[in-house]
Amino acid sequence: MTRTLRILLPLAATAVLVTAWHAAAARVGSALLFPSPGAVLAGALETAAEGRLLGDVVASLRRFAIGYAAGVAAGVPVGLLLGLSLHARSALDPIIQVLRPISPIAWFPLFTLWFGIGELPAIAIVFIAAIYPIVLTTANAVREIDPLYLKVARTFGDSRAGTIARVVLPASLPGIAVGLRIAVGTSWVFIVAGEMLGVTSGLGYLIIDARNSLRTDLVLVAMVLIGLLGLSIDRALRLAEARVRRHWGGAR
Amino acid sequence: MSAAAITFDAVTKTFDTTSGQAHRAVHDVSLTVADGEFVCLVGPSGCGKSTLLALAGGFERPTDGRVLLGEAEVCAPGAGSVTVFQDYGLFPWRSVRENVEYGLQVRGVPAAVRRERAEAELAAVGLAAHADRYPHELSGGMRQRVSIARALAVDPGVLLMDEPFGAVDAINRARMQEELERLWREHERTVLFVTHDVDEAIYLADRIVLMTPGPGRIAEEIEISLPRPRARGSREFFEVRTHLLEALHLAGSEQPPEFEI
Repeated sequence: MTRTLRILLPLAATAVLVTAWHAAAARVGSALLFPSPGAVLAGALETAAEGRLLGDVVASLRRFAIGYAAGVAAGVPVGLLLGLSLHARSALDPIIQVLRPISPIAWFPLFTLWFGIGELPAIAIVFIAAIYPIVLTTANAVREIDPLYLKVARTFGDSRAGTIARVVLPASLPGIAVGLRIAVGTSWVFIVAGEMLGVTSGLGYLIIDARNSLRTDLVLVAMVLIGLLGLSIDRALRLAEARVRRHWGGAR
Repeated sequence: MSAAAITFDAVTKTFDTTSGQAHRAVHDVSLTVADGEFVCLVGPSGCGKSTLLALAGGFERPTDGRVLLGEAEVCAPGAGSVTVFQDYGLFPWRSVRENVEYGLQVRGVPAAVRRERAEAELAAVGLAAHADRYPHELSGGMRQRVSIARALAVDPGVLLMDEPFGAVDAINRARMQEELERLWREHERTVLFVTHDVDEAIYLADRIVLMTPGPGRIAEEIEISLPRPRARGSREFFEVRTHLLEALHLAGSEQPPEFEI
């Protein structure tokens, strides 16, 4: 596929979708039930001019970043432990497998009981959503390290801590990077849910608030923004991942 | 020659196979490698040559008998010897120089000294210009040079080499042997070298230890007293070669084929 086509095709598909949306909105004829793309754009510009939209975006991104960073900070060491120690793995794996299918949303009542109303439950939900993919891919990456690297570490007499820092962690970084990217996607989905209760800012709150004030156009503004931001975050991590892989000689 | 650098004292090594039977890889082997000596272990596959090397490197413990480096019994890798592996084991995330610095880093050598030593070792193997490249940018022969430089950087008393040129093409192989021989003569290190290439062993070794399989044991020890560097085309080289091949053939013929159709 040529470069021009790669750019044109998604643009054309988007144009078709927006046109169809516009036509459908005109048929429905109710801005409350189904606002047109133009109405949504107007709503976006209006809230942006009020300064509110940027505030909501920043609030969501900030909570997401905190929850995700906490997920990385906890998930990578736990993953390393599971990857390195057969004992830790057989002890913890069943617990993780039972906890993992529980939706982060299901934790919400507990989180509000523990942390009260506020942004902490939203952050905690992102943390829960991020930590499982990070733990599992990290553990997997560690298990799949070429055993020859570990033999080299041993023949040079590296200590256990030195081997982890100098060999295990860098050797598993390409695998960990994949986990970090997957976790960004899954946990970003949950920031909206986390913000639907207990906070008064953020894109999730914008959706609830707009619905309560019958501003369906703003509901769609928030939805589109969530999608676009999710795409941007994913792309940024893909770039970082590709860099890691290139630096690690991924061509081999 | 001077004191013993490596001593195998009545060493037996048995592995448990998946079928539950014990496989005797090495049976009652006694061998002494003198300080500064270059010894090649040669033999058909399954003769236990790599097991002996793993025992000397501390990767395996003997089932019976003792393995000593100098006076000390070998209990774990990393004490007094460095193993060079056939598949190099270079770290792809480190540049060539950083790879060579690895062992020095483990020993807590300061960064400036580390860099200087790494560059000296790289110069010795002819790779000074490639210090900032990454392993995947190098050919197999160059990678093995880096791996040898990494081993020599920590100045090991004993260098253990497990078919180091096995994955290098024939032309580069001869050149690598010449370089290794030169490096060895310059530093007089003890080398225990595993190979199944008879020419390689004759070119490099002070002494060739011929092993036979089932269970692995020493069949013959051959002193090679040809002057160095050795001329591969010489008559004496050829005579040793003929003798070794005959001995290998005899050793092999006592054994059933490795696989049956």
